Amino acid sequence: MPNIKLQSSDGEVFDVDVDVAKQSITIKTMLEDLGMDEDDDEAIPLPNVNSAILGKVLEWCQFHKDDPPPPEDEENREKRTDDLCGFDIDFLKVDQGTLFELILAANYLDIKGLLDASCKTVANMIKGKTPEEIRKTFNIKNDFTPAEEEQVRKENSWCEEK
Amino acid sequence: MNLLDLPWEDILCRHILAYLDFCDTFNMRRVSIAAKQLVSIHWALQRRLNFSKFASGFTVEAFQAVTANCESVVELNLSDCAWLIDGCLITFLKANPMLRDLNLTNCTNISSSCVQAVASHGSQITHLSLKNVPLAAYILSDVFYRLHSLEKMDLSGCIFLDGTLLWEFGLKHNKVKWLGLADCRNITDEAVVWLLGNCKSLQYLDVSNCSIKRPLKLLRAVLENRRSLRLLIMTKTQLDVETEHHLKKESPHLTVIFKPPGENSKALLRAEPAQENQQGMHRANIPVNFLF
Repeated sequence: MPNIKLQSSDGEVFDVDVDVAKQSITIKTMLEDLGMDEDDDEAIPLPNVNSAILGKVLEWCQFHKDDPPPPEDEENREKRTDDLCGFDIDFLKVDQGTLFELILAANYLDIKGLLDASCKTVANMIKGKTPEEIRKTFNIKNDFTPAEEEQVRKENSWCEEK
Repeated sequence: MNLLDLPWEDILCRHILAYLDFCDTFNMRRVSIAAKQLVSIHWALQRRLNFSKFASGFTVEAFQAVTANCESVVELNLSDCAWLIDGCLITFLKANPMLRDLNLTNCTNISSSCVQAVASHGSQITHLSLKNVPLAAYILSDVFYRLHSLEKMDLSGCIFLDGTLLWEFGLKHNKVKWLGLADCRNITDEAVVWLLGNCKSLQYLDVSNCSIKRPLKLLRAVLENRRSLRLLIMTKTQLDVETEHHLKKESPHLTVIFKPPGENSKALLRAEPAQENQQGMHRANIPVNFLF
């Protein structure tokens, strides 16, 4: 299989199988639009992704390289978060900083499967939690004034009484 | 990097909050001022809102919080939301002129003036359910007159709907494809036969528990007039055994359902003209050359 070179924001160059790299629509489009040859020595610069995250992204792409293309009709798709495969569950057991960096990288590189999996992981970290538990999970400070808090509590009463 | 540092619209709203139900998003907005703003943006971006899963226990305040900044909703499902009152729905209708699909099934606390507001502000509405909404005849007449694009209408349980009103409806909306008239006891054979002759695009018709005295005559009219009709539901209609036997003969063109067993009838009344929703129902296919 032909390889291409990808250069992270901190200058590290990754030699990658073309089919693995082309799971990124951004990279695929670059190759097509810029007419870059697959065996070109020149590395494709990815200024928004550092080497640690790019390494993780490529690990994910390597595992999923034979997956069928994701469905297009996102709006009508069932919104499930319990359908992550075992690899993705383990792969995304990382600290929050890394998880958010992976989301940003997946969004920038336009890798739908990784974006979905990482965002579902975050959604699962919110689901079923009380406001206080969400604050603790994501280290968010409650900055409501007492009056504001009372107003928002009133609007929430319907789900707190359950 | 923290959660709220992620891009709000592109990531947090579109890819994370999209997986949360109302209960989770309401809890999220209690976290902090920024989280509340984030959820407000998320709700403002919604084009489809379904409150029917949270019909019991939801409040007017919660509905107002969700819809406060909505301006481009095209689909609103308020089925079984007995908490819904006029003011909040009218405000919503004024702010969302692109609304196409409105389900008010079993919204028993809204008044006639609210339904008139639907007629006034819902010029784009193509799908409307007023099932079991208590409405006077003149309100129905107003709705039929003011709405122009109805393709799907559920008037089941509208007890004041009669032949004259159905005539008004059929004249104005002769392109209607889906019509529910179940439990409209003032609808007779004659009115349905006229409707079938006038509304040639009709694909689904439910006349269960209407005053159908001569079901065979109705079925004959169906066979004569059906061009598009795919599914006719006429439960609680007396049909003799011989007719039933004949109706079971295979035909790819039209399905008649006339005896849903017990509790399954609830599922039947929600049925679309699609095979998966008809499982377990007593159905009969009318052969093309069937003679009564």
